[in-house]
Amino acid sequence: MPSSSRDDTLAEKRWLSALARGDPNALGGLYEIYGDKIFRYTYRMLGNRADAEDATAETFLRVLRRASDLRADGAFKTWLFRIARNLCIDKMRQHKLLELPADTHYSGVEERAALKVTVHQALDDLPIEYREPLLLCDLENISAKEAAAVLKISVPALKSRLYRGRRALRDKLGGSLEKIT
Amino acid sequence: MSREIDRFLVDLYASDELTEELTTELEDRAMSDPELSHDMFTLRQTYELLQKTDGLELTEESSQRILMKMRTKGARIEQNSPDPAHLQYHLPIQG
Repeated sequence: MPSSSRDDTLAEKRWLSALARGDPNALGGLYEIYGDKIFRYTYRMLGNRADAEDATAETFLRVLRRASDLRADGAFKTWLFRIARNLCIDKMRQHKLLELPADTHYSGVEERAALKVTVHQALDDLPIEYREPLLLCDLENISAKEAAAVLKISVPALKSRLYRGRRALRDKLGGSLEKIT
Repeated sequence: MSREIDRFLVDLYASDELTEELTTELEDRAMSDPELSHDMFTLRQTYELLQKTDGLELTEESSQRILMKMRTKGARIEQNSPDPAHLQYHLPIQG
C-alpha cells in the first residue's frame, strides 16, 4: 500500500473514532481526506460544479447523521461513494439532468486542453453502466472489489462493464486517439 | 486462438493485468496480426489516457461553498488547516 493511502487509512480510523465521540474536528478531517475524491466523482456523474458541490455537502452531512453507526473497518470509503452515487442518481432523476446539456467546459484551467474536454465529453456520452466503473476504477483508482461494492454488483460484472466501457470509450474517441499518436 | 479469447486477453493487456509471459506471447502474435495489434494499441492508449485525465479539481472556492452548505444545515465543522492566504482577511498595515 502506498504511504499516502496508509496515512489516509490511519487518519480515517482516527477521525471516525473522533466523530463517534462528537469531536467537532472530525467531519472536517474526513472531508480533508475524501472531499476532493467525492467532489470529482459527483462532478463527473452530474456534469456541473454547482450540483457536485450540493451532492458533496449532502454526502458528508449523511456521514454526520450516521456518525454513531460508522465503523473504521475499511468499508467507510465504499459506503461514502455509495452515498454519493445514490445522491447523484436522485439528482439526475429530480432535475432530469440526463436530458439537459452538461457544463461541457468544466470551468477548470486544466480542462481547457482540447483532449481533456474530448475525453470528458466522450465519458459523458457513455451509458451510465459503462461510465460508472470507468469513473471509479480508472479515474479515481478505486479497486475493482470496492467499486463493485459501491455499485452493488459482483466483481466479474464490474470487470465486464469496465472492459466494455473502455472499448466503448475508445470507439467514441476514435480520431482523437489517432491525433495523439 | 478464438477472437473472443483474444478480445479478453487484450482487455487484460490494456490495463496491464496480464502476466509477463502472456504479454510477450500476445505481442509476438500481434506482429503478424494487424487487427490484433490495432486493438491492443488503441485500447491501451485509451486506458493510459484515462489514467492521465485529471482535472475537475476541487477549487478552494468550491470547497468553501461545500463547507458553508454543511454549516448551514447544522454541521459543526472546524477546519483542520488554515484558510488559504487569498481567502483570509488582512488587517491594514499600520505605521
